[in-house]
Amino acid sequence: MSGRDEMTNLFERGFQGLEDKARECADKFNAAVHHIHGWRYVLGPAMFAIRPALDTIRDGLETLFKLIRTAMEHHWPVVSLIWQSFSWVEKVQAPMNNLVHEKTDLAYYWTGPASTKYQDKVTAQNDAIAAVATKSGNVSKWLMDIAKYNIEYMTKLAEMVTGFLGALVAAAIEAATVVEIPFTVTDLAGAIGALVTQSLDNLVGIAKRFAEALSKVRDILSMMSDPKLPKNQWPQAVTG
Amino acid sequence: MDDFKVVTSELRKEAKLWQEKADKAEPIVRAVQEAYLSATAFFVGDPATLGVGMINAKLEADQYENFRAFMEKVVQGAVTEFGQIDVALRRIADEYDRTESVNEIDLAKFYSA
Repeated sequence: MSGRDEMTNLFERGFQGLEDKARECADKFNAAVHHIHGWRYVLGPAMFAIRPALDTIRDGLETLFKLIRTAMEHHWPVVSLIWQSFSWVEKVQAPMNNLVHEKTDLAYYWTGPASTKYQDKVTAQNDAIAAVATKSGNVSKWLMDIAKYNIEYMTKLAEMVTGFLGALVAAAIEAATVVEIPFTVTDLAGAIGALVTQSLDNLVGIAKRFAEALSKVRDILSMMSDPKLPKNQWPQAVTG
Repeated sequence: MDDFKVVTSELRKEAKLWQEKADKAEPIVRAVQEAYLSATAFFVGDPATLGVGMINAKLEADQYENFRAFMEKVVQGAVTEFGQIDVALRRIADEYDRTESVNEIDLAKFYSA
């Protein structure tokens, strides 16, 4: 299993340059629109083919921006989820396991029913300690799975924006001659359309696998009932 | 009357171990308290824009919070219990020393706070 910092870094990598690239995409597109607008009378009837192509690109951009905005809003909260998935193991499970009461020599120095009763209570305490440690490990695994899909998602989203910008740069509509404009725009729209479809397919797939992992919260809930924790609480050695 | 023997200093040593456990369990309670997660913490994705139905993770976030609160209560219970075992063992030791009794002592009395 990778460490907390490593997981966080993998997640952060998806955010690196994300907004800058999105802004560049917008600038490129606006420059293209501006350039085409300047030639609109010369282009004349060709504008009938150019407009829907531009719409395709604009729609793709808007979808991309929405996805990026949501990702930015959830960025830090998801980092906290990654951290908590490690905390359940490092700050709960491990120290909990260290609380297990090792049998001392007391049994040699103290015998009789009072001693026996005490030893029984120790067993109940140790069982509860083990139960809590196991539950902490399980909730950590659940969060870790969820974290993994978030990292996959960000990797794909970063690829999507990089691909988008790459296509806009390659087309260079803002520098196209009036003769080139109609073909360049329709080519670009085709490329962007395919890129968006492919990217969304990937992201939808990840979102579905995420939802599946998330629904395993049922297993977490079922851990709230445990005979080692009678009446849903810590076993009472001393009543009251 | 059962036969029994006791070295009360050993009982007091044992009691101290439980006090240490109570101290060590305190930071665990805090770690569980800090494990709260808001609904926005579960997914960086945008199910609405992606058209995959699920609007947010609110239900699951609430359920996780139920579990977290349960764990907090349980571990808090452990802190209390460990401290009470410490007290009970020391009281039993005191009673042995006071009465020097070779007979059974009233156990129930010591295992209730």
